[in-house]
Amino acid sequence: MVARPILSETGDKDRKTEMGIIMASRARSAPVDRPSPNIPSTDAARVAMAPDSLRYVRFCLWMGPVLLVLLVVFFAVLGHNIPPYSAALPAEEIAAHFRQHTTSARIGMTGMMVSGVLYLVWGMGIAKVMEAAERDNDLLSRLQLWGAGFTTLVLVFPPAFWLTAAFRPEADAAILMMLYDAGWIMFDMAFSLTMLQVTAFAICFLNDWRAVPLIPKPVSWFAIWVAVVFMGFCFLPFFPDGPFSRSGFFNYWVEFSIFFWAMLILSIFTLRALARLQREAMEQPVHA
Amino acid sequence: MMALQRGPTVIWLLLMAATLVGAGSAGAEGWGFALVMLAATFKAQLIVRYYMEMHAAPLAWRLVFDGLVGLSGAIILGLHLLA
Amino acid sequence: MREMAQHRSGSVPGILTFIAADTANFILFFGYFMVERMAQPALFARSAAMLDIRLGLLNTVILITSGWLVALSVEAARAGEMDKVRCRLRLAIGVGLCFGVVKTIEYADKMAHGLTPQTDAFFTFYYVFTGIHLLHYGIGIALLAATLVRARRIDAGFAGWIESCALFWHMVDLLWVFLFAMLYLQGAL
Repeated sequence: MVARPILSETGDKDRKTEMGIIMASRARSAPVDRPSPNIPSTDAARVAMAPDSLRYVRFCLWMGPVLLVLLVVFFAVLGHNIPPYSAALPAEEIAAHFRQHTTSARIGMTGMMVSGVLYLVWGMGIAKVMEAAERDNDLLSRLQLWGAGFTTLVLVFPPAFWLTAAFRPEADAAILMMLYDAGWIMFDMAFSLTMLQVTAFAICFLNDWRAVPLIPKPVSWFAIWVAVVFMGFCFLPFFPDGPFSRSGFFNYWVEFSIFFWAMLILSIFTLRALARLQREAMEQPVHA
Repeated sequence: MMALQRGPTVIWLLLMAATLVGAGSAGAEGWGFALVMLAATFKAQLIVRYYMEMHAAPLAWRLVFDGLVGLSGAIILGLHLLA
Repeated sequence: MREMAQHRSGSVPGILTFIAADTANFILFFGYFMVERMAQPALFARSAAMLDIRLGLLNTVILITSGWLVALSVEAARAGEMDKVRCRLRLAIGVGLCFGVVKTIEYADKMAHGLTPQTDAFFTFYYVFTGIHLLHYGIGIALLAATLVRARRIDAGFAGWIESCALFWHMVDLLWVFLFAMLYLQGAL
């Protein structure tokens, strides 16, 4: 599963406590002229008060895997989306789904709308790790963040269509089908917003100047490949059935699996990068 | 194992020859199609090994690409013969 | 863009990860196509016969020749002979552009005969697979053009860059080799 992080979730607090203990014990056993953390102007106090630029980032990054679990529960299982209903089905069958699975659809789509925000939180965590790698400007981390932010909307708004249909299952079958279709078109066809996110990520870490890169280069290249593969969705509007339709082998099973694995892989490697950044920060002397 | 250093031009000639062999067998079915796939796989292997310089790459990468080329040929020919 | 892929086993250009993943993806395409073909052999054979092998053959020759020219320009880049690099790249791009022209003519001709991606399963695969390949081809041409632009100035990272772009272009060639055999050269059952 996911690699256990070296520092705990409250790593920040532990580090400060740890440093405080170290400082206090040094103060006790040291000669009288050693600086004390209790005197505001000393180096020790500066260390204790130094801003931690990586605070909260671990939590943000963990929201990626958390969201994946929630998506499986709300979108896939409760939403009856393994796979979604074929675009070739008559309206009556789509209507039947909303009439028979009303409650699970309502819970599932509510869950999706509420938890979609975690994608933005995850993206912000990634942006913070990217900031440690970019050196000329913060353009790429910003592009990643905007890409993550708009992908968040893609996770939040299509479920609104499906929730609307589940909210009024007695409506005309044709209306229910159109709501289902509209949700799916928005869900699948806004893929370039996610392409932006993963491409910015990849370019940033491919240009990482470190001898051992923060993110291994193959992971960045994998991210670029994911972006290119998403272009397969371009064929979706042209095929109501078959492997390139919304429920087909390529545009559902392959593409959605790739998205899942991409989120997981990016989460694992950014968490590792974060652990390394925090280790490096602890080893840095604090300059006045 | 000595790596064969062939100039790109020799490779081009081999690729053209294999292309003609393959295209000449067009429309063949069953084992006749095997000749087409043999030519195609041979071409793919030339591209991977010499143009993409896999002959100089670490073993792991050589195996990955040999595997991809072999799998492509095997899947197409195999499923053709099974039909 | 020269990076270490594995500490122990030496360095390969990182773009190989992309190329391996993309090739694996195309293998999925091949497998799916061949399985679908088993279900409707007569239809596939009939529709495949409507493709013009000569155009497919021409495109194969175009890509092989363009790939040869790109390989020559990489050789020149390693020797530091930038004039040769630029000349060979221009030729490679010029030849390579012909592929797009031939493909467009082919698509237009098919459409004129009423053969669209919705005509039948074979034509769905034909248009989608060659379409996705055409997208890769477009990216490849763009990369070669960017390389040509970059070849105008002296630059430390150039060798790594042209190697990566060349690898991508060879992948485009490689994928077409299998697509040509599978779509155009398979005979009736």
